[in-house]
Amino acid sequence: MSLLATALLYSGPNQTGASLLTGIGSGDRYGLIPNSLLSSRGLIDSIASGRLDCSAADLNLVMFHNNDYTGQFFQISLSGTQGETTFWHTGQVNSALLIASNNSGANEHRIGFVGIFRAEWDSFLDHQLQGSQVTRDVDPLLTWQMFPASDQWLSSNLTYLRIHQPLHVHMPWYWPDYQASVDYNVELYVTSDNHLRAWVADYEWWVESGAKSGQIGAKLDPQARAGMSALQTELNQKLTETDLFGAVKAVYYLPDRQLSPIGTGTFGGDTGNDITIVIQT
Amino acid sequence: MTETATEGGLGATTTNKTTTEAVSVRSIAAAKPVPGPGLLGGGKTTQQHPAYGRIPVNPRRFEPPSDFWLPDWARTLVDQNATPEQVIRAAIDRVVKGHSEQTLVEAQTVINELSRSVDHAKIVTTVLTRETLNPLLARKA
Repeated sequence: MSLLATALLYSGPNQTGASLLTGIGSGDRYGLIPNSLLSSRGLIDSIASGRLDCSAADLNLVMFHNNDYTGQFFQISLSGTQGETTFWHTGQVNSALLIASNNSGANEHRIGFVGIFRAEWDSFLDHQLQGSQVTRDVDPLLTWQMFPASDQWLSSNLTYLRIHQPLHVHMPWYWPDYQASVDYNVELYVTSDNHLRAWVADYEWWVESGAKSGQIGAKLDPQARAGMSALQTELNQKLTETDLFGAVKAVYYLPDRQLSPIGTGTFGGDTGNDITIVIQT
Repeated sequence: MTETATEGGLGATTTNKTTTEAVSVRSIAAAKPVPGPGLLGGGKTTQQHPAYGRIPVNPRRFEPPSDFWLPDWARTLVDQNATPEQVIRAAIDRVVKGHSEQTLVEAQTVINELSRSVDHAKIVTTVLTRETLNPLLARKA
């Protein structure tokens, strides 16, 4: 085992102050820098500078505003061919990820989660909700859940695509309507015959507080549960398009829309805008 | 649209205005929605996970093992009154001589424990040069 990349993070400008050494091995994809680690090193909102080194892949240091690898982020990327750089940074950081990308010897195909699935989602959900008192509310959030630490149905070692859909529950007579939402967490994986496929790991729902919450929840639950299997079929049908890329070796994610490698540079965005699905062949 | 104060760039802070491009984050604030008071529910799938063609790799975690304390080689150096620089170099040498999960975790943990102090972080910076990192990264000089 050798190292693919190292990242030295400093609390002061120009590589001064206390430091934290992190790195990822040659077989790794992600390195986690959780809120607890940043906190123990006094680096919450205080990563002021750093140094990145890498060899056989590009290295992306992604610093998130939220403590669960979501929300707005700022990314510093280093091309494997350049190999080293220093950087400066100011602003909020509550969690961070190291992500290896563009590994030498692998071909990459990048697609946007929103681009590939947004239109299908609307028609899929409308079909699922047909004949019920529930309709889609505002636009869905197509995002990710990275290594969820406190979700009873998901693994803290895995990464998920997450679909969050606000719903509107229409009530009869003069009863005020209810807000609700449904979430699906989806794992993309490589099959034994090297295709990319989806597995819907769980469903979650929420109904706003009120005398009828329980009744609405009782009706929503079986609908949402039944949606898992239908969604998986829909996603897998869409993913057959990726069979054209050839035998898939790996899949991983980058935040927001990064359809081309940045090389060496910076990028700012939000995990709520989109997620880039990177397929290596 | 919300604008954050987050920005950064390549190179040194004092020279970024002329030699690097700073990028400000401008994006919709679409953080993970937190539902208000209400009723929550859900469940995991009952379908068995299909066989993996490639087992997903566990993420690398940097928090030291809870039972970590000084490895013997480091304790010996400390007992011999070695300098922090000597301990850091010894940690790196052990990784260069034998890359393994254990040598990497040991080196990282010893270096990160030392670099809690600003003065020792300076020594880490001095030792971890491109030349030092080249063999660790299997990178040509």
